[in-house]
Amino acid sequence: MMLYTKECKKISRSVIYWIFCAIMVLFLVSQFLGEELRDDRLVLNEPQQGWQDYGTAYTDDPEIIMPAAANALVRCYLINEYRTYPLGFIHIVHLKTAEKEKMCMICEKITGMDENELKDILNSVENGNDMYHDQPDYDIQSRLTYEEFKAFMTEADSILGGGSSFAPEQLSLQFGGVPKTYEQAKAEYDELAEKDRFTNGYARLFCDYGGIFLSLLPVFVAAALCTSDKRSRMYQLIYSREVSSSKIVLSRFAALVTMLMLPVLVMALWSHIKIAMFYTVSRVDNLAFLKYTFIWLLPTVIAATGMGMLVTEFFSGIAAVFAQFVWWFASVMTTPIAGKISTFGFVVRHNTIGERDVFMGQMHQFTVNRLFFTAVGLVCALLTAFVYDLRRGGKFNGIRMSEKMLRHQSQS
Amino acid sequence: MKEKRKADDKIIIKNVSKFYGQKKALDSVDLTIEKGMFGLLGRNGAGKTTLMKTIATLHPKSSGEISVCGVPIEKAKDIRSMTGYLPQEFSMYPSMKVDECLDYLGVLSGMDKKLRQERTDMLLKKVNLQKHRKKKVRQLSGGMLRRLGIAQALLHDPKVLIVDEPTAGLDPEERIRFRNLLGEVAEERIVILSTHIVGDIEASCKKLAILNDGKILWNGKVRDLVDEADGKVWSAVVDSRFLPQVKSACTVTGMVMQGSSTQVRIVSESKPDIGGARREEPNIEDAYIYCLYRNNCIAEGGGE
Repeated sequence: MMLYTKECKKISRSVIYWIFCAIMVLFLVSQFLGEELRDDRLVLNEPQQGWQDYGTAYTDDPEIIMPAAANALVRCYLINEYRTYPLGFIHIVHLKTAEKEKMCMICEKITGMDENELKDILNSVENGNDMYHDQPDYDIQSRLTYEEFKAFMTEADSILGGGSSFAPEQLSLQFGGVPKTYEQAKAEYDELAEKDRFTNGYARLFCDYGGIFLSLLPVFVAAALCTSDKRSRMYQLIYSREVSSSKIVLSRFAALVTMLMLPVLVMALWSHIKIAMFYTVSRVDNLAFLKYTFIWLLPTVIAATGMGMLVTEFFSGIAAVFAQFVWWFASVMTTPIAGKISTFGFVVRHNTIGERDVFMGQMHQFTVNRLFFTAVGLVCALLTAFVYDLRRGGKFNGIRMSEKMLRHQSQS
Repeated sequence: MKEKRKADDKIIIKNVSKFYGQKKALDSVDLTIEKGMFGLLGRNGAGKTTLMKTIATLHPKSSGEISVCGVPIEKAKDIRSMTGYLPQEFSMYPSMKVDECLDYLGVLSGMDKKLRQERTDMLLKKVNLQKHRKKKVRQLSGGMLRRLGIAQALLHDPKVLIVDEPTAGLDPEERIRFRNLLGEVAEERIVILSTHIVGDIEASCKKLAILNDGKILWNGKVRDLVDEADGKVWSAVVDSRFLPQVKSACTVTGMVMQGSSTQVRIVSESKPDIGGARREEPNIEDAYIYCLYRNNCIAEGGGE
């Protein structure tokens, strides 16, 4: 316990730790507290009769999705310009002749028109018609089932190299948007008020935002702590002490997790107070933020810290940051912002205060996911202790990738 | 029983070798080190640091046996609990205060709070850092840092103290102060002092071993090493123009310029063929060079 306290104190003196705190606080203040919890936005949550707009709902209805998606694809085909997001960043695709022909076939099959008829639509657009508002009636459903339509969309997405709006999992979000009715908006609000008692819904959104950064940033603090002995040339003084390697490593691991969670807990408390003050304390679940922060974000911090410590001890701090960045990037870019929790996806997302049923319906995957990543973090910490002990006894000196590459270059 | 007690006060090293890949850093080293100050003398790269790190359980040996106060080296935790180590190059967390550093290392040595405070106060007084205890490590001078280093090594009152090149880079006054400090603490424990500065050994050790290329060349009392060089040290005054010839023909351990002539100090088995050469009383530096010379580690003329 004494060593744990000392390690916490050591972390609190690290500049990198304070940078981490500043980034976390700035991000959560700007994205969550300052945006989602803005007073005018909180007021808008309770819908009133007669409003012009109750927001957008997303439907899986093929009748809505198919014409909208077909229209968008034809338009892109005719101007030969497609926007895709293969790794989360925009990529403008212009197809070459062979691929263009394949895309033409897809357009013909889903619209039932030949190329000339499609060109007429383009001409009509050039003559001033708005293609979106004067949407032609392709009558897709009389010729294609939704499954067949999705197969064509998959093919189109594949021709574009992936990451397009036409990927089947994107269809509802991209083309299924319909205006919410008052009843829908009211039902959603009632669910937030009664089942989630406000704070549960907001706590999920808080964890969604927090999880994005907590799955990356801890590695910087972990790598800095693990390399501090070497940087300050103190490692031999520590290696020659009586204390066991597992006690050193696990104390540092526990201290890191504690210190990394501190700013998150402060922000969670701040958010809770703001919501409780707005909706009154008696109407909210006072433990919601605490509960979600621990079950959602703590496993993220444990896994990111454990992995960061292990890679740092095995290779180096830079390697740990690089590996964590790759893992984080791959996970963030492949995880939909809401609606799907995968069992082994590192970043869990639910970027809405609503859709409680969708989240609760995936509670099993969520639980397994969080337990899995807690276990990953703990196993990494134990492996770190093992590697640390080997280093300490001079049996392993770590693997330096740069040295290996230099050796390889000099040999070749 | 008596033998067991004897072993409890000694470090016994039997036939220890250590390889770094193909390179042999220690070659069948046999040594017995008893209570008091023991010097380990040798050139840079002779294997001194490797031997010390091996005793401090920071390097595994490739073969042989080592026991520290009766405990085999394989029991790393037990060895670490009775060993204090001051490495050649070290520092501490720069933003920590002096007493905080000692407190942190005391926790790593499993000491309780009261004992840590007592030992910290006592040691900071002993190493004359009491007034600087609230200074951050980054504010300490080189000499102060070394003294803090010795304090941390003594923190848990170890039976064995291993200090590697502790006086390198210190000014003469700090060096003398440091040697005296080591002499004091050596009264109640085994202190192994590794150095390539012969003066440190002469001033503080009764016994020493000379290491070269991982092998022990000599092991025994400092006085005996000096006695062995008796009758092998000579001095002569030569014309400075002939100095290069003298240096190439003999092993010169010292030179004093005297106008156009130079007084040279030479180690040689027999009287050198220089006019006016006369026998000199050997000092430990002569004895060390003579030991290297006799073991063919340096050729006549000073080359290796």
